[in-house]
Amino acid sequence: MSQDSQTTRTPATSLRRLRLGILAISAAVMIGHAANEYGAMLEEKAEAVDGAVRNAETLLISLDEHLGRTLQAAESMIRLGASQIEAELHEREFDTAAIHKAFIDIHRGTSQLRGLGFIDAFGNLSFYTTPNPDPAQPRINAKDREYFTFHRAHPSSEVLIGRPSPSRATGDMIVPLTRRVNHPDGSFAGVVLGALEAAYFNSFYSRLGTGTRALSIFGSDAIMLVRMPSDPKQVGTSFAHRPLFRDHIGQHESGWYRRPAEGDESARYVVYRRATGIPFVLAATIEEPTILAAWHEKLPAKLLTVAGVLLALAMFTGLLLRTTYRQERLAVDLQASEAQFRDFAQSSSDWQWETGPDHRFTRFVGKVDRLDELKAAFLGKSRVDIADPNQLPPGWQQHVQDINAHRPFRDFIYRRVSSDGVIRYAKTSGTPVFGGNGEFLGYRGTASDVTDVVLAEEHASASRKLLANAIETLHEGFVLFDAQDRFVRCNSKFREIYAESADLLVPGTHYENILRHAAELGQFPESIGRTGKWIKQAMAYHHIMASTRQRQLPGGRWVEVREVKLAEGGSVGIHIDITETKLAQEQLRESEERLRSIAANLTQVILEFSVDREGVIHQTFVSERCQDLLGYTADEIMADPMIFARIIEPEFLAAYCQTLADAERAMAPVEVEYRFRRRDGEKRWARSMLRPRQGPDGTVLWDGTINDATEEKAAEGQRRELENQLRHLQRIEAVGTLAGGMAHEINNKLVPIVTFSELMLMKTAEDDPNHRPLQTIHDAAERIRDLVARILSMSRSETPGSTPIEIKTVAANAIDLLRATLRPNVRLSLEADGAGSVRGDGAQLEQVLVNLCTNAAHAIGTNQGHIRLAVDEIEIDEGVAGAGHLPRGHYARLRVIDNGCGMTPQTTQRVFEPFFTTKSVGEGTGLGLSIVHGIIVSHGGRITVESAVGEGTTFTILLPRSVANESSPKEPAANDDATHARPQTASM
Amino acid sequence: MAKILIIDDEKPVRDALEAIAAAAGHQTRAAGDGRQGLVQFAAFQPDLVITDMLMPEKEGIETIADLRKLRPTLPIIAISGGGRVGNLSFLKIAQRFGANRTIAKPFSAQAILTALTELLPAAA
Repeated sequence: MSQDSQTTRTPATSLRRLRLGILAISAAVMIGHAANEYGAMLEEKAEAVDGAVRNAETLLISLDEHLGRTLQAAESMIRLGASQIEAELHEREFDTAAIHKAFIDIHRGTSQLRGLGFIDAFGNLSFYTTPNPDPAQPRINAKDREYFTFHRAHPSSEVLIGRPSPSRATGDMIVPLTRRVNHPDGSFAGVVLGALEAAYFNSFYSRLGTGTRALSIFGSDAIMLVRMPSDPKQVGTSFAHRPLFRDHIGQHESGWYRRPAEGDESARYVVYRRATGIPFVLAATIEEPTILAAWHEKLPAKLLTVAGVLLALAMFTGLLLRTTYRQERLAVDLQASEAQFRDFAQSSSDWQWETGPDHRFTRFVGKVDRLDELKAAFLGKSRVDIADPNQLPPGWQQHVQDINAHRPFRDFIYRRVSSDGVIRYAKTSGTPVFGGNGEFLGYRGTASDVTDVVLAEEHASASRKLLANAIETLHEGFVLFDAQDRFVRCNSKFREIYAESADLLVPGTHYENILRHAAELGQFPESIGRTGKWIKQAMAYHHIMASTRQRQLPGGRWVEVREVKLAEGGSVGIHIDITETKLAQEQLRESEERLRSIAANLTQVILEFSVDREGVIHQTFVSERCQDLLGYTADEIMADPMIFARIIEPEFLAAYCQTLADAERAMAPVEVEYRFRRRDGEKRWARSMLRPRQGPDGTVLWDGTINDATEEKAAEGQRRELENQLRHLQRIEAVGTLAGGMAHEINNKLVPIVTFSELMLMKTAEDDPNHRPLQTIHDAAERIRDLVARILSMSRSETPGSTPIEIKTVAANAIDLLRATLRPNVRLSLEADGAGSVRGDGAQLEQVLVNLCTNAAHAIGTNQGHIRLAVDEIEIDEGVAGAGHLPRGHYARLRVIDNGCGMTPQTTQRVFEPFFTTKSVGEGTGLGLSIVHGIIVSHGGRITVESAVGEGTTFTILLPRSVANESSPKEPAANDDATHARPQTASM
Repeated sequence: MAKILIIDDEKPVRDALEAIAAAAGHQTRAAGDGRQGLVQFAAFQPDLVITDMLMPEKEGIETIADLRKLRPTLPIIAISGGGRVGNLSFLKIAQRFGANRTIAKPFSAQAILTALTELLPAAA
């Protein structure tokens, strides 16, 4: 093949020369045209500048003339003024007012001068036609003015055009025009001053319509006098060092120059002229863009035309060149592909080979150092000959078929054992070669030794396999993404978890796409309705160094996702199916919730706490019930380890702690009772059952309950009271029984004493010495009889009459009985308030009241005292204090209240016992109150006493009220009440 | 002048009653219990009987009941020292069973004399 390459060189070179010729001619034509057009454009530009400058020069000439005329007019006015003054000086009296008036008349005829005035020989402004705008200003003095000094020194009467300067009156720029005024003797009398106003020129020039041009007037000393448009910053400044005065006015009377662009200012043309016969310089400035505006406007059309012509030329050239290129490319391509082939073959392969029609190797070319060995081993042999039938490379059958069918093949790797016994691999590609008639001539191809590559690949493949197997054995889903978040690989567990996204789990898929696809399928319940946001979040997790989160999947499944960034970029994700764990957690939570709920419904408080080795208490659980019992919420209790130490009443705390300590030592459950303060301050009783058990590392775990024992305690107290009452009644009953028995005996024994003494007295005269002893025996026996009668009445258990008795009447009767017997120092009052009626024995009840009142009177003794007998009605509900065991219902209440000496608690307690008395022997039997008690009890009522020493005593009697019109006592309800209310009575 | 039978288990009481009756000029006979009382009643044929209620051997109530059967018009005075059965007073029971008077012990001689005067026929 290489021998053809030489022949293509000549046509390519000649074509290239032809092409150069065409290019040269074409370029020459185009450059010529462009240069011509460029010249024409420059010419037009110069013409535009010339025109503008000429216009400006014309303008300056006319300004020059106008300025000259203006000054002339001003001068003549000044002269007129001066001559007026000089004429006046000839007169005897100088009439300043008249002169001033004359001046005003002169000035009125002109607009050029701002004002006309006279300065006297001392420099003071004598008068001025235009009034000073500021009357407060001191009198103006011009002694230091240049023109004043000049006129004083020089007797010339010419008009002097002064240096432009700011007016002393107004500060505006003025040009002073002055003339000397002489006295008739020729001496200096003063100066007439006319102020040429710079502003005058402004108004004039603006009428000229300067357009974009700027006009300036300078004094001969380069001070700017006027500028149009006005520029206060520049007016009054010196331009002596500016180019206008520095470079131009000195050399030429008139002319122009171009000032290049400076900063923001564009380039401009300055046209200047020295005024004729007067010391002024005129200048006009025209900005270049203004001058060239028209030229610039025409420029694009011009350029377009030029460009069009050039383009046409270029296209024509291009067409010519293209034909030559086509020819050349064919030749060059051929050359290049040959070279390319050679280069590729050499760089991509170690050697080239050729086989004949019988597939036997005919040629080896190459740079490999084993070429000789190859030649020796393979020349004259076919691939089939060389192949080791035991170690046929993969794809061998296909390869053989390709060769036999004369098809090209690529990158087939075969294995051979080299002469030194080393296994080597070569990768080869081949193309069939056919002759001019289509006959098969053999293959040409390239080959490379890829032993290192194959071995490395085998190694890598083995590693990959190992890794893949390792990943595959994981119970967790494994997924690997590269640094660009593209899927690399995953294990089958991962595919199992995300079965719906399996199609996307191919290398190269972007993580976000996998997420989006799954989210759109509804695979992530938490993403529904907010896919975009959810994906953003998931990507954020994916990008942080390491993250762990839980993700819900459909069907109630849960996955824990742990992602770790790899140092080389990329990330590994471990996806653990935690559905079971989650379920167990949920069940545990539910179970705890159930426990909590049960605990909350129990009346007891359930609690659990631990005490660690340091003795620190950790509350771990308190059921919600604690709020009812203790007034604290569970959270408050758990947060405060010392809460029980605070709320348990101090007198119980030590015992509580001791009990717990004992229980801990014995590791046995305990029960402890204590009183505590609720949060609201109420004191209540609690009973705790606590069970200790040994926890890990020396901790003691406690669990148990707290019961509200308040009611129980109260019930216990009530029971104790009832027991006391019962004991009391039993004692009274026992005494009564004994008394009954004794009474019988005594009565029998008394019979002879009473009767015999009585009989004997009948027979004995009063003056008989036996009469008195007999009487004493008889009286003593009678006393004993009365005593026994009382004992009997106490132990008598006849049911009292069951007629309804008006309590008020009973009380009134008792009062009537008492009034006769009580001493006057005792006041007795009745306070009756409709107590209704009770069933019973009126006489007995009367006796009761009399008895109580008599006792009260005794308690009052000789002091002033008051006994109140109060009668009213109350309703007894369950739990009314002092009501004891009485059934519910309406009761008549009788109270005997005295303010006597009162009783000690010991006395109060025993007051109803038979034979208990505080009175001296003979004063009382001690049976009175026990009889009272018996009567009240037999009426189904109850009597209680309250007393305080020194304050008095109150007896309270409660009697069950009967319904007013009830006549029969045999109603079942009444019966019931009776059996309930009178068990003690029956047994007496 | 009448015949009075006195039944009481207490001798001092019998003596006292005999003394009172004798003081009023009556003839008396005494018995220690109900049974003896009935025997004496048959033998003595009294015009009036004074009997205690609570006695050994034969109770006062029973005695009164028997005496009433023997002679329905017999005046009987029941005396009692205050004994009782349950809620019932002997004296009240005695009254119910036919005692013409009931007098609680200890009584005055005058009370007995008054009762005797009232219960015995004026002729006797």
